[in-house]
Amino acid sequence: MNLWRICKLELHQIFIKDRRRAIFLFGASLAYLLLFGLLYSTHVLKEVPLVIYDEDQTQFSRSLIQAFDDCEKFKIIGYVASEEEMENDLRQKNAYAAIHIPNNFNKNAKLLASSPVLLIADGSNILITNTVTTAAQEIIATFAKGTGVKLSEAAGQLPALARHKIDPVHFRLRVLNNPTQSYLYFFAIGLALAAFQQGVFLSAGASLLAYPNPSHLKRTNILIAEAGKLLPYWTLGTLAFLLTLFASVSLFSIPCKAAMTSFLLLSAAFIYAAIGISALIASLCNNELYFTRVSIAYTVPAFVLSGYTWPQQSMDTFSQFLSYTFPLSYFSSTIRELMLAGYSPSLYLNSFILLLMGTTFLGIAAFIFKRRLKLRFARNHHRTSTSNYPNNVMTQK
Amino acid sequence: MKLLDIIIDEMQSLFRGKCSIFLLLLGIPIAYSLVFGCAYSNGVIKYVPTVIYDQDQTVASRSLTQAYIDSERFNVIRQVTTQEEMEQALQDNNALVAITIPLKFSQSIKLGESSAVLVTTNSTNVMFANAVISANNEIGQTFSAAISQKLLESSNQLPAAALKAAVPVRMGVRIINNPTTSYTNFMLAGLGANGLQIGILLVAGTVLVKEYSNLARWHNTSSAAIIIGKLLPHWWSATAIFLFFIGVITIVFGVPFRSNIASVFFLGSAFTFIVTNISFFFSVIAKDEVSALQAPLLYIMPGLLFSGLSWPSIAMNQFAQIFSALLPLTYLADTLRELLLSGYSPILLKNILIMYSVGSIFCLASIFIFSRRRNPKTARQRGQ
Repeated sequence: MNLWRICKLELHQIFIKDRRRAIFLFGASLAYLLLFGLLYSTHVLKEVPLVIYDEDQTQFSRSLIQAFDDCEKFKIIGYVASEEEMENDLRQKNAYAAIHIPNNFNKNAKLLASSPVLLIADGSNILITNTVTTAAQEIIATFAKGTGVKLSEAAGQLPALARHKIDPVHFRLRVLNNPTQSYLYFFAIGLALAAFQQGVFLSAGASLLAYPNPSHLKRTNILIAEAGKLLPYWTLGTLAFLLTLFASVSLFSIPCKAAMTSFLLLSAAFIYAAIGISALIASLCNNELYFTRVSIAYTVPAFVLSGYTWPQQSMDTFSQFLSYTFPLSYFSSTIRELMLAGYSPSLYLNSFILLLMGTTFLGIAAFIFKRRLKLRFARNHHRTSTSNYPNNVMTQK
Repeated sequence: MKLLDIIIDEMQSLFRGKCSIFLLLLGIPIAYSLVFGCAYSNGVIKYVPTVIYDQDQTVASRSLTQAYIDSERFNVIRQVTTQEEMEQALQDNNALVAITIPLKFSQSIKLGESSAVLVTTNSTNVMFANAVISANNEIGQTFSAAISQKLLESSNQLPAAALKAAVPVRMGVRIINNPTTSYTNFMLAGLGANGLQIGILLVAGTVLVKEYSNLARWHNTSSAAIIIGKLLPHWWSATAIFLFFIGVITIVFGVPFRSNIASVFFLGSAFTFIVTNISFFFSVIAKDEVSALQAPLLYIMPGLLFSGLSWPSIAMNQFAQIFSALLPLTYLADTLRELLLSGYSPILLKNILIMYSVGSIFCLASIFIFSRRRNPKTARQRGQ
């Protein structure tokens, strides 16, 4: 069989005989994008339930409470009258943070005795903890400065001078690429790409483990057979990736700043590597059931260790090493950079590494498949000759 | 076959062979716990690569630079001398933060003019940006308070009074349950439970579907006995593995264990019960072993992120809340973390009851479907 015939046969398999492959290839990433796009549609964490324990009950303490009430990061769900009540609300998860304003808060501030406000935050979910502490820091800092300026003015300083003395240095923050720190932009595309990898795995693996008949491939070079089987997945995979990209931009307005050629280069290299690793796993597995088990178990570590969320710089040496062996590590973060920043300094290096990975994996897989096919031919030949033997004997008799 | 015989037979098939299927059940949660435990061993994000563009080069600007060098959150990789160099470092991802101290920074402070430091951070990965913003707030406020104190001292205030005047209101932060905001404490239990869920699916998912081609063996056995006989060994093994993986994450990675063992045991057994029954359900409706594993992927795999473990339920929209409520991990992940970190969860009993009830419903549904599919009449009608 020549390359074109094998490709045609494979396309027939994908779209007519085993439609499951087309569903994996096109559906996995789109389904994940839709699911996680909806999950992170609120973009950032807001309105964390907060309880207030105001022992001071003065105009001063109420103005601080007002500042928390005005902040969109908090939602005051109640005011408590005792420490026990406050702790109980935190324990029962009615609130995830509490503000305790002590007695004599107003008096101490005015007497320049420096008055402490206590923020209690639940640290179990660090997403909530980060949001709460950062927002409370900002509120308290602004409130402290305002109070300091008023006190200085009361002590006879001119307003402008007082403001300067209390707040001499400003820190301006410029957040690049994802200024609102949206979780949708940060996370959804990476999860869709992890599912995309799974889709490529399952469909290409199903193809490699379902040889129609070894005799069809008897006179075909193993590399041509492998290329013919996998070329449709590479082409269709690229198309599926572009569809996912288009859906992420049109449905969820995720920025897509880089040129299309960059996406095409990286995605083509990644799909090549993913098909390569899928071929390697398939060559080592006896049947599709084992292959499915391995590829499902592989998905979560490949995503978590890809550096997409927990950065590679913060991993230990062993995890870093593992991370470098996964094709997703060279793809998902780079795609996010291309989308949000419009460029990635590691685009060409990562594409090259992925192409190298793909070639190595496919080469090893071809070698193993060749050996396995030889064994199958030998077994078939042996079976045929042994089944013919008695007949011959019978005829001779 | 009697129920006891089926249980013994299933137990044997779990442990049979050199590479027994039990190893798959055990291996995935333990491997996930070990690999992710190692990956998160730093606990928090530290040493974010930082460049400093100090245009002022004075004592004040150098003391601010020193504050960033002293902070473990930042790793000042170099000081640049031009705006282009700074932007290049950010663009090449050599640095993720750049601090720009403007010209006449010190002079402006002394002259009473506003002086601004620009902190630029790359937020492509929100984890970095969160760490940077929080640490920067602390450094900024401390530095500003120190300068303010000096300015007030220069107008004849005593040092202690000057400091109090500079910071009339302070904030004390008390973080309960996970005071260091460690990522290991935050994620590891949930990731291990997710591994266990995948392990159960991969093992239990194929158990019933393969019996359709072997029905003669079950001639005199009821569907309920077959399913319960196969359920119990898988459920018990998975519960034992659950307790083992909790032991691994607490002993090897130091995740706190503040709850009593009974609460964790009942929660874990309820979880393994529901997941085994869900896997059995997909197994009885599937056409072959491979589809029994592939069909529940969209249902099982997103479970971790919809469980409220990382993205909390208070931030979910209505669709996400409904989808989350349908996933078994939602009733385990957050509750297990609460038990481990605070020793208490207000929804423990409710979640255990939900998991046992829904698991039983799946079990009944599996028995019903299995008995219909093995019945020759209904099988013939379905064209089998």
